[in-house]
Amino acid sequence: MTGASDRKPSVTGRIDWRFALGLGIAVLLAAAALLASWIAPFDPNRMGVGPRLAAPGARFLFGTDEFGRDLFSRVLVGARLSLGIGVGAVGGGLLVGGLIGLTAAFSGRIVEVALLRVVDFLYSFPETLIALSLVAFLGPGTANAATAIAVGMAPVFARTVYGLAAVERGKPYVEAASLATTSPIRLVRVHVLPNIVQSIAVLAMLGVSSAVLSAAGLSFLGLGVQPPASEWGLILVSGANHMHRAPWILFFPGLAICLTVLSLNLIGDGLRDMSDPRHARTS
Amino acid sequence: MTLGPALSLAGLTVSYATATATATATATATGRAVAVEGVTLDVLRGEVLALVGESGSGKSTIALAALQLLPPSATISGRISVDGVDTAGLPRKALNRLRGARIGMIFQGSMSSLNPVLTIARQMTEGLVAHRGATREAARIKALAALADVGIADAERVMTQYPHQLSGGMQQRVMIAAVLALEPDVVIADEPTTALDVAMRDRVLDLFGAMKQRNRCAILLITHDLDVVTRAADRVAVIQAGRIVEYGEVRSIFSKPRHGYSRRLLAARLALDTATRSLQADPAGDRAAQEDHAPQLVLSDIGRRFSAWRRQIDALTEISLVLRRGETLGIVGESGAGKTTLARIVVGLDCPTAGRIFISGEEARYRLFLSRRRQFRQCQMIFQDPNSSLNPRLTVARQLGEPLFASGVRDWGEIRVRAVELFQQVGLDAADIDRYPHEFSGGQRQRIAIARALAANPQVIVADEPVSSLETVIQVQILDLLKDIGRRSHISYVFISHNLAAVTRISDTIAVMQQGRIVELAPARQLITHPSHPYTRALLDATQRRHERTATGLVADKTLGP
Amino acid sequence: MIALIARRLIAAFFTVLAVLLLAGVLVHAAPGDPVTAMMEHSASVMPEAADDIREQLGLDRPIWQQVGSYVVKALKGDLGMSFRTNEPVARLVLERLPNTLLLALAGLGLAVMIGVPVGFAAAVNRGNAIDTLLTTVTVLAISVPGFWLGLIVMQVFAVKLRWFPVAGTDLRNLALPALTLGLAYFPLVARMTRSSLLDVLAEDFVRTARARGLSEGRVLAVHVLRPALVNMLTIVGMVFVYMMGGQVIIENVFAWNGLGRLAVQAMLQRDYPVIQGFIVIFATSIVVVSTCLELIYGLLDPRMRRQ
Repeated sequence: MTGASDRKPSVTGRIDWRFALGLGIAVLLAAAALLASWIAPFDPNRMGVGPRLAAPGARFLFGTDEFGRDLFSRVLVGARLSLGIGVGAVGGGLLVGGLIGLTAAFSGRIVEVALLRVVDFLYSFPETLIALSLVAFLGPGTANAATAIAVGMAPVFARTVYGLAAVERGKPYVEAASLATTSPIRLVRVHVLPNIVQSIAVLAMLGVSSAVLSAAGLSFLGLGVQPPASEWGLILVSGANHMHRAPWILFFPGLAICLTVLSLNLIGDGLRDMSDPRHARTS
Repeated sequence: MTLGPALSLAGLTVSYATATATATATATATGRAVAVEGVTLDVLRGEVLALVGESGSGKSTIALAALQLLPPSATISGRISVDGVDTAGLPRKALNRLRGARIGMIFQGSMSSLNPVLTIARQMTEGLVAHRGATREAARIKALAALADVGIADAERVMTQYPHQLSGGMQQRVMIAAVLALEPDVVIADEPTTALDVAMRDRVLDLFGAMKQRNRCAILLITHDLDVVTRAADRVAVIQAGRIVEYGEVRSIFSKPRHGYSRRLLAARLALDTATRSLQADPAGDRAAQEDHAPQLVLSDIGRRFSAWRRQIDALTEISLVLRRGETLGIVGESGAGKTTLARIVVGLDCPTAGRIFISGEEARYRLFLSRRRQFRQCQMIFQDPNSSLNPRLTVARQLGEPLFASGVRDWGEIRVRAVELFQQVGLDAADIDRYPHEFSGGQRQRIAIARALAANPQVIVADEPVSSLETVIQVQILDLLKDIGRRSHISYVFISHNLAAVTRISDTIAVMQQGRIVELAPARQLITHPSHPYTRALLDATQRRHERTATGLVADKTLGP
Repeated sequence: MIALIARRLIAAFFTVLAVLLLAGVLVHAAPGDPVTAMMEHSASVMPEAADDIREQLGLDRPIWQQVGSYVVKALKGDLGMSFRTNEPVARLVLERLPNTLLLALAGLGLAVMIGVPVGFAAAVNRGNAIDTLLTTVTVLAISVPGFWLGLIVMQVFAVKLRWFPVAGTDLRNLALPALTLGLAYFPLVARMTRSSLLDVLAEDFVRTARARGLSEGRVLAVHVLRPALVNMLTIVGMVFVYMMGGQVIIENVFAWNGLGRLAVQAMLQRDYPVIQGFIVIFATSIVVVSTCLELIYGLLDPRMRRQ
């Protein structure tokens, strides 16, 4: 009979190629985002550095938009914005949601049921709806958008962390630890968290990719980041308006979003497959 | 009728790519984990071959290999033949004709082996319809007969039900009936009687005997229970870590085991039974008179009722016990008697629905999960499964350190020193204290669990089946360790087990539980020599019979013949 | 059985109630004052009249009273009046609800029609080239932003190929947004189908069926399909919820005159009553569909049927 103690406390099997690929792309993107100000050949907000709606060429790698701004620089700086919002929103959502989930799992029955009712209520609606509702009333803007996305994701985090914690709670080694512990907080911190951190990391990765998509969507609608900032969703508005004459404005920011989301998904999936052989695709 | 063996394995070796292997298979340099190696055995018609080994020894792998049911990640070499025909090269259709009709397999774990969305009738008849070309009606009649054979009284009703509506024991019997109804030539039964009580178990084993004689079936009976072997098997193969170490007639092997492992297996059983025998043989011998201390633990009319949907189950009724300092109270009973529920209530993991509990004189009140009163910390627990009672991601040192911290020691240097002391006290090497649980064996993990229980400085330790999942050789060592610690530290024990011999070995007083009640409570010596309750007598008889069989290798049962 | 249905319906009612409460409360999170917002829209509202209007709208009452009256009125069918057009919100919203539901149905249908076979094929071929191919396609597809896909679809099919009109709200216009939704969400369906099927295939009872000598086809059809179908319902329910979220933006891309388009316009114009109405009706539709699916699930799974 095998049990928890038979497994080595680390990832099993070899490094998944998907994980490696995703990590590679993500590192490149992160580097681009961080170093954007130095790498960008032009000021992303400066109009008229080139002719309007110029096709991609040697000077303007991605072409220019309807105001003559260099698209490459804009997309580069946009990485920072998009990733920033993504990470920020996930950070906030995970903090709030995770705390709620842990509290629900390790408090008395009444608290648990009450919290779960609230979480399940919110969970039954799409994150987009919750985020939209908040942004609708708070007003457009970067900070509001990030907050709204965070609140939208919190129920998912709460529910998942609760699920993970509830499973741990029933395990004999946690019960044994609860027999000799000074406080529930200590129990969770020392005995439970190390066992669920890996799953939470997977969740966070996938959360960032979802947040980046939401942020782009909100900005596209005009409810998120406001012009003249170079968030990818915003650039796509120009792209939509000039679809037939300058398709590159539509293409490059979209591709950037795809790559970002893809790399994060690959990392998340790869992490998940590496730590849980049951879900692995190849036997 | 063919004269050769019905099922024959020759040099069977099964290995897995390491990522999917269990930790108990031995890893080789090539990065593959070997589950079984070089296994050669034959099952003849009209006989029962028992395959005996501890969990993880490869028994189930052999069974699955015989039916070509191993996952694609397994690499198989060697020959598996049924009536002389090699099954490896068979095309799919031929293999399907073989399965079910010629070889029937009874799986371990009946709950998950039955399809939850199909009725019992459907699952029992489909094999008959597919293989024997029976009509629905004819299949139904056969299925009803098979269910009756395994002792299911209300077969008509059961047929219309779904698996989740049946108890574990009934599910297991349904599984057995479904396989036997097809009247296969070979039956492979993987732990077919674990969920059944003794009477039902014997009935099923009798059924195997009937199939063996009447239908000239070849039966491969996989088990870890030596009782089953002596009662039902003609020949036995002992498997250890994937290799067959002993293979021959039951009588000769049990009386003169040749391999060291089987010798230890049988000898250990004897040692446990000796405890019982010595107590019975020596009524004048006495244990140290109980010092008249204040009671450590008092349970007063404890009851525990579970309500689900509209049913109620009384897991415990009117349990009253007194435990004094340094005393060891043994609680014995079959599975389902309520022993674990009681254990959990004593340490505060569960809350009784009636009665009160007093620890060191104070009444202990139950509160929210984890808001454990200081009182309950005086009662620590050793869990049954050492494989899951240790946190895989913390070093052993840390896991010993936490209870020490909880008991009041705040200086981490001192905590480390005390942890090392405890580690050594349970017989482990101090150098290993910074390792992780997966680096220790099952017996060692249980020692760590004992050390962890001691670390909290308890007055009472509840041990819930602490040795049941260990190799019998190790069982004796752990029991002696517990006894030793108890004598030196005056900690009181509540020792729970279904094995009367184990309980007798270390208890001063024994309580016998049946269906949630204590039917007898007496000092160990008195209980063994002069049991008053019929249930206690039945338990003693079973233990005694088992001892006799093991010692002489004789099988007292008539149905299996000379 | 009746108890099960009753319980679900009561739960659904309370959920809708909670939505109403939230919609009523959230509006107070907005900066500024509804009257100020109104004044932006209509030159006919004089600053001097602001206080009177406030009193008329009951804005001087305590918050809980305002929320309470909103909820009560909503239950009677009155969702307030648009700031912009002064039409009843209820009418505006309910006019557009069928459009949204139609698009949702079409999109979901496409997603399921593409996604289930893909997921099924991947699961049955687990580990080999087909599975890898399909899974790779799925992973790539999931990473594509829905609205970007919509724009590209529009560019390709409407602008370049001229097969379909660019935007609008008749049935002919349904094709492109539905296609976009289908393409955007089929990967999710495929993934969940594959995962669910793999879970069922790994179950012990499937092994028992194989050990019984049943042909692989029979095993799949009888033992795997039934539990898998039950899971499919859950999957469809979950994808439906996700898709409703994504639909808001798709409606705007294709100028499909549904709730999503109405909502975004209202948000950009700070037309609060319409936003509230949108939230209420949108959320309620989700609750209704989810509850129906739950009830069907309860009927199908024998473990739920009793008790």
